[in-house]
Amino acid sequence: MAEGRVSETPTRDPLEPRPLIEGAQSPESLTGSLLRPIERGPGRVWWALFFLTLGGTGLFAAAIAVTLVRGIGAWGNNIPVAWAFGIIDFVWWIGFGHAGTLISAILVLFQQKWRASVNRFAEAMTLFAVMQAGLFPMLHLGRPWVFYWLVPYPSTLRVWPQFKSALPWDMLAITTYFTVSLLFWYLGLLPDLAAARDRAPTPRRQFWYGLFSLGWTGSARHWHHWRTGYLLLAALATPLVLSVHTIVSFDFAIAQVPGWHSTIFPPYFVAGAIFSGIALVLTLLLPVRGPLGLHHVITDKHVDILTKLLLATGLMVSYGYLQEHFFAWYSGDEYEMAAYAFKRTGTWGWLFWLQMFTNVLVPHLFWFSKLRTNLVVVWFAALAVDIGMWLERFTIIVPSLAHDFLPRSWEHYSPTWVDFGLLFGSMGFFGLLFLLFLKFIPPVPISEVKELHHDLKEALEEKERRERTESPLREKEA
Amino acid sequence: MPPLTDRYPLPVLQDPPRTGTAGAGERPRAWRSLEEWRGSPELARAAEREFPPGAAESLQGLDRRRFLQLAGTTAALAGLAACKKPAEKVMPYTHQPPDVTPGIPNAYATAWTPEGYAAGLVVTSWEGRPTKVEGNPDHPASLGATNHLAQALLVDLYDTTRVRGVKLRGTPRSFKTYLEEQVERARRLEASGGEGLWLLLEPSASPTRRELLDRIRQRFPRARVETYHALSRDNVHEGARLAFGRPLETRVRYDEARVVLSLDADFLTQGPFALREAREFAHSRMPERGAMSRLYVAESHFSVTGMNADHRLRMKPSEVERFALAVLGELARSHGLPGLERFRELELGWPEKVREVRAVAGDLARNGDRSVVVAGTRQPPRVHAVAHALNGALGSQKRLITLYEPGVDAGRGGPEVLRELAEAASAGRVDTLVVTASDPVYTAPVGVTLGAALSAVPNAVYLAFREDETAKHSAWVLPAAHVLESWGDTRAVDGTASIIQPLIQPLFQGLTELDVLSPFAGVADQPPYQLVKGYWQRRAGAAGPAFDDTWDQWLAVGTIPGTEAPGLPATVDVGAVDASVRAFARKPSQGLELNLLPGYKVHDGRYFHNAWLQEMPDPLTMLSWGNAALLSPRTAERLKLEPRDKVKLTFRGRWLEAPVYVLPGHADDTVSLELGWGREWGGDSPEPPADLGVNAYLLRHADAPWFADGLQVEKVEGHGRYATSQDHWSMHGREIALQDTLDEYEKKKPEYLQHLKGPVEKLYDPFKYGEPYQWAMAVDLNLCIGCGACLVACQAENNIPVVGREQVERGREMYWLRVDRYFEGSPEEPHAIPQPMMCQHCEAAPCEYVCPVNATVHSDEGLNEMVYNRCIGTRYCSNNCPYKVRRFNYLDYRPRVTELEKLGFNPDVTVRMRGVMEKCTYCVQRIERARIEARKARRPIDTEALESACAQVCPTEAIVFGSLHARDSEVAKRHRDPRHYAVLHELGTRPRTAYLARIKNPNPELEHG
Amino acid sequence: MAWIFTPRANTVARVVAVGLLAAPALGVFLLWAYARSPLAQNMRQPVAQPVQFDHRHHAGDEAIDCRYCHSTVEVSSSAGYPSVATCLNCHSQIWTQSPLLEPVRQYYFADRPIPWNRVHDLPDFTYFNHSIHVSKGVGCVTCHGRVDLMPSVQQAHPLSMGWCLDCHRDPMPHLRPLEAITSMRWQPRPGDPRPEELARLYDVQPRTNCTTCHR
Repeated sequence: MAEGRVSETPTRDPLEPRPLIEGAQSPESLTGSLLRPIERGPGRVWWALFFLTLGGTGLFAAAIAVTLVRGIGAWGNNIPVAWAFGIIDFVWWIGFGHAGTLISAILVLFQQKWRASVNRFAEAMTLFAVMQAGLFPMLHLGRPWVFYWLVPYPSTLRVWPQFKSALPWDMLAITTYFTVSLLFWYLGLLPDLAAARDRAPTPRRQFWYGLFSLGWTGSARHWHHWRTGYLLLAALATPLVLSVHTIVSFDFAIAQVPGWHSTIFPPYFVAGAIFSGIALVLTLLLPVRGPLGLHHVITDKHVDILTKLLLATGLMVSYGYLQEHFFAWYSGDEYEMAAYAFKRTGTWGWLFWLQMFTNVLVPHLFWFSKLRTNLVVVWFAALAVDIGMWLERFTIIVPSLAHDFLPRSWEHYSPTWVDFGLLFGSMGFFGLLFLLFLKFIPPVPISEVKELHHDLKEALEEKERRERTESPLREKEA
Repeated sequence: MPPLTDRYPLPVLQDPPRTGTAGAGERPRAWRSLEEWRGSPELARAAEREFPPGAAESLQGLDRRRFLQLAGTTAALAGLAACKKPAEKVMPYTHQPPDVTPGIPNAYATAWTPEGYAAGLVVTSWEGRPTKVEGNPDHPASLGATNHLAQALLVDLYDTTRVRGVKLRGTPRSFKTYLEEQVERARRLEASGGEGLWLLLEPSASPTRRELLDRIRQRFPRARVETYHALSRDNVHEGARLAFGRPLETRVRYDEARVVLSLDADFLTQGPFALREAREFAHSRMPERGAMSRLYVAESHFSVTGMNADHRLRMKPSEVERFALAVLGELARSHGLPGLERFRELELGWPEKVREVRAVAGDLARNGDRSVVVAGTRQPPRVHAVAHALNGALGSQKRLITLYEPGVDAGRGGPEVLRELAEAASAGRVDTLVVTASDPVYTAPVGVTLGAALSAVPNAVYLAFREDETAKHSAWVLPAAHVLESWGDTRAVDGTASIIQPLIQPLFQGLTELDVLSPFAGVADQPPYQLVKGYWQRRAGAAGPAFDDTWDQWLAVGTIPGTEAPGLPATVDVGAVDASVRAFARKPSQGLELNLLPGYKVHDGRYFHNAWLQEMPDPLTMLSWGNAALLSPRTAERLKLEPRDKVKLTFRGRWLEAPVYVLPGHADDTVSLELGWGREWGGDSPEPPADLGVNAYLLRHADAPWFADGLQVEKVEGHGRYATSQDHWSMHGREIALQDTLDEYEKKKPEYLQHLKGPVEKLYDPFKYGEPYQWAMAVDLNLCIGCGACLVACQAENNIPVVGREQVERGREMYWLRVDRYFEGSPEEPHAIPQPMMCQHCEAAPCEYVCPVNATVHSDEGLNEMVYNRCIGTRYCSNNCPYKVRRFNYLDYRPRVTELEKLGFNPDVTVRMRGVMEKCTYCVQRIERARIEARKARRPIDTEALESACAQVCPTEAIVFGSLHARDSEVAKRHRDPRHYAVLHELGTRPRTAYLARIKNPNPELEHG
Repeated sequence: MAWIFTPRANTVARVVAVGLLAAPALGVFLLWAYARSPLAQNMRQPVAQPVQFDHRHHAGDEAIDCRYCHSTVEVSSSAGYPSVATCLNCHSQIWTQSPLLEPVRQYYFADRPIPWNRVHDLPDFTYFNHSIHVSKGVGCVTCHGRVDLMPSVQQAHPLSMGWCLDCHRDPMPHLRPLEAITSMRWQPRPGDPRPEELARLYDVQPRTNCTTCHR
């Protein structure tokens, strides 16, 4: 389908010093290089990681089993700390999801070219993160088997969910978010699956890729429908970036627990979500870029942009922290002040200050372009943010509950192995899904990269033509 | 209040004529259900088995349905709504008993005997199964209230670890064999005039038992008949003997008193008349000038009474005596009380306490015959004598005090007796020993090797409730009947007699004390029922049907009219007192003092196996599932001890290790330790056999039963373990449990606490409550003494599970009603403020709008309703409850409940399954029951008669429940009282539970500096 | 490599796609329908009993009042099941030799309860009280159906929460004079007091608070 003429000059954007695509590329070379990861057999490292994450998944399953059999009592929760790891992990994972939707949906609408080569990554990440997140609210119920009472349906009991509570909306938000992300991701996949089908070495691969590419032929009509659909879904997904974490933040904001009851929560949760999402993209992207041979399409330019985003959202989050504590002080409410004082100096104060370091200080590294391109620094910084965002949720949930209105009810909280099992187990499960993704699905959207490559070439030729037409005139003037 | 006869259906309980048919066959038995009384072989067979009818296979009436309900198929069904339910059986009676209607509980009046004296009870029974214990409003020592111990009686009743069946050296025997053998032995002993016959009995005021003992004494003139109790009241009796020349029981009219000086007397919770005296004391606390009494408590540890003192005078336990004498001297010297002249010279140089002594003496003198001095059972006789002397001189002995003939045997009933017995036994001078006292081997003081001695007794008979240490060493072990299984009689301190009637047939062929004694009294052929009825028939001088009616009347009302004893006239022999006072060694105690306390929950250790009491938080320390070494903050600091450190307590060469608990307000240089802990748990329990506290008896000496100096304390490796349900003792300056002085209060009236009551600004108009009934509660902190009876009553009424020590440590206790305890002031000299805290039934409840499934909603009568079967367990409501009164079933607590324990459940309350939230419902089951009865009769609900479990049990009526629509009801009045306020009022939750501020009446002389 | 999918695959794919969407919808509908079916609600399923007691004969032909056997219906939450002695009240006189009654006699002389199988079985967290309903003019037949026509008793109504609420929200259609409370055949006749009057007369105020039934 792609017309073949190797362009001698490296494709470069006239307005951009750093290239988005490196080296002399042609559509074929791109298709080839981008399909190689899935056509190659799995390497030793892949298998190692696979079994590692498989073990993690096993741990996850075990922890879930214990929770279902023994009940929430298997966790460390108590009264007053009735929410803890379960909800922390939930918010943490759902937060990660936001990078995907942001990068794919919003940047599509803003026609950001650079997104082309990282969006599938981000979307896959979103999908898998939301899968983890979706599990926790279920597990965290005292009686999971009646979770469907959260759904409004005509019941013979004549009882409906209570829409004043944030939880039924949570349910709604998560399911919507998952569905849309899935469709969006799958739609984006179609052309590449077709490409994989056409180049499939074995009939089996040909069959499966063929099955899932839904008979894509790349006809003009297909492309036309595809674009429309993709744009529509992007438009549909965009509000979700804001809505989902806003609703999640309501779980806390509508309660009157000192340390939760704050109007800044929605914006600051959304910012935090994107912050963590970007961080996770970097954490996953950098290590796999080399082994998959994607240096030419995922360039320092991308890293540079992502770190800038990290810095921007990091500043928003810092502002959120500042406001929280300012409000507490400014309100003059003794309970609020006590709660925040406890956050800073209480039992878990050290976690709070660790979080301040990772989420507030670390992003400031990226004022410097040198550090932005120093992959080691970037990777560790991103990792720090990933952890820091978990800590943030911890310091929001646990200290606030453990230190509320009546000193009588102040209790200590200590997690059990099941709590940690669920946390690390979910990481394992996430990793497993991610490895499979890398193995069986083109990690970089081929068609979009080729399109980008095409645009860049156009732009370049345009520039050259203009130079040619302008030079004779100058000679006349002279 | 109408007489009980109108309020409770009358059971007519008769023993069958003596036929071989009934049950075990040897002897007639009390009823379990009337068809059994008619002698049904099927039930006789069931009686042999572990469970009585109604528990296991032969279920009757609607029991089965209730049981399934209690077994909590509840939510299982809710969860699997679509699945088929298991087919349910219905077992109707074969003969419908006349007084039992399935679905309608009966209530029977009876009594139990803490410390030997009667406390009246009314017990609710469902189809023959006792489910709830209440106080008997017509009984002088109860007035409708009970203490926490009585509330927990059911746990012991339904305890599967009780002794089952008669055993001789471990091999089962029939009771018949026992009778025959003892009758035989008695005959042989008779020859020697009873040489070698010992009876070691529980103190008891039972007239019938007294008669039996008289017969035994006549028959065996040389037999030793002794009473023993580890926490004996010897000091009280000896003190009276010293002052009046004869042992007497003292009863104080606290409602008349204006100044009370307690010398280490915890009179609000200890003593046979405590319930009544607590209520009378509360009545003397009405916060009006002149009308309000003032309480001084001189004590070492923090007692419940100390919690209610206007002035707590902290001192070593041994110094209390010194303080008493100092006050005596001061009164004689500076106030020249008549009759105390000879104490003028009584001068103990005690500069650091002189200010207190002056103030107290002055206050006592000013209030003359309306000021009273009381001494605690732990204080030596001399202190009691001094108290009597002071009351005599002040004139209060005439005005406030009534003296009664002791109902119990006022001999030496303490550790001394055990030493003599041990000596006699080891010397082989004891042939037959009958023990009905509670586990003397475990409670024996140091140096008395009673266990070995008992084993040496050829015919040692022990009436055991459990396989305890004494049972291990006794030849004969007889299963003791629970008081709710027993026929008997008893009397209160003021002489009022009551018949003890059984609520249920003995579950394990239990025997009463009378059963055990009858062979020696030569009445082996008479079962307790006949003994008791016979005795009273003789006393009534009536006979035949006429008497039967009176008898039924007595049983129904729970007391025997006209048996109150008159107060005895007595004058203090000042000379004798003086003599003993001169004998007082004036040396102040050196170093650390060991201070042993009666167990507040486990008593002398007999309630150690009672899971409700084990889990109940101690009123002061909030400890559950164990005791600890209590120290004052300063002493802890001096000894470099932190809470939960492990210390080695060495006393006279013997030592034990205990965890440290730093208790604000505790006396310095004193280490307090509760008795009755550290036993083996055994049995099936929510707690594996474990170190539940430490056994303080290991440091108890016959000559120092309560306290003595010469204790060494050293820190040892490792950490002690205890579970508390409250870690933070300070209110952090928040307005939660409010306390004020009388002066402050009167200054501020009527604007008192304006900022904590009334409407708060709202964005939306609040809901207008139109319904006739507006349920509400009011807790008067000024009346609440913090005893914790309400907490156990709530547990009994609402089927609240016991969660065990680990879960308490994790902060998962399930109490719907908890009694919070806050300290105010310095750690050395704090005020302690108890505050019962239960669901506040907020009119704008924060829990309701966050529940995603409408499982907690509001009723038009102002109830915050909790619907277990709708709850999915998000726990969001608990997070949003500012009072944190909601409790979550983190684990499934039902499987621990034995089939037998299920009998004690309240069928009117759903048993909650794992994963659902629960909380105080204002006893809605009682409201709905009352509503249905009223609506059937087409009349309004009698909201005055309607009481929540906590309000009903409260000894001081600190908690009242009712409807606000009745403007002149007590609850409505309290909601208008200037002292009322809402906890966390500024949150705008508008609670339906109002608190009334606590008012103190301090002595200006001690106020400042 | 050659094509392995023919154009017909597209059609298949479309059908499958539609199916994938339709299947869940159908499943939800079936669940919805099942929850409302007599099957799910235990309705109209005769329950075998240890004794072949025939309500048609006793309540129908002999027209024995329900309260003769279910004697506590007016005082207690439970309508009450007759004790074996109650059966013998009559059957010590009549049908004394009937083989049908052999088990009854056995239970009586063994002094064992007859293990009846429960037909109307509410969940255990639901506190239903017979006495309040019959005293407010809700007849036996209203909930239990024409027992006098049942060879062996079966559940005639859903007994679901929704079903209860219907009546608690509007009891009028179900009220009858107390005289006819146990009547199986009663029909309002002209001249009978209107439901509104009955409601006023009997002071009928059904409540729909959760704790009315769940405690």
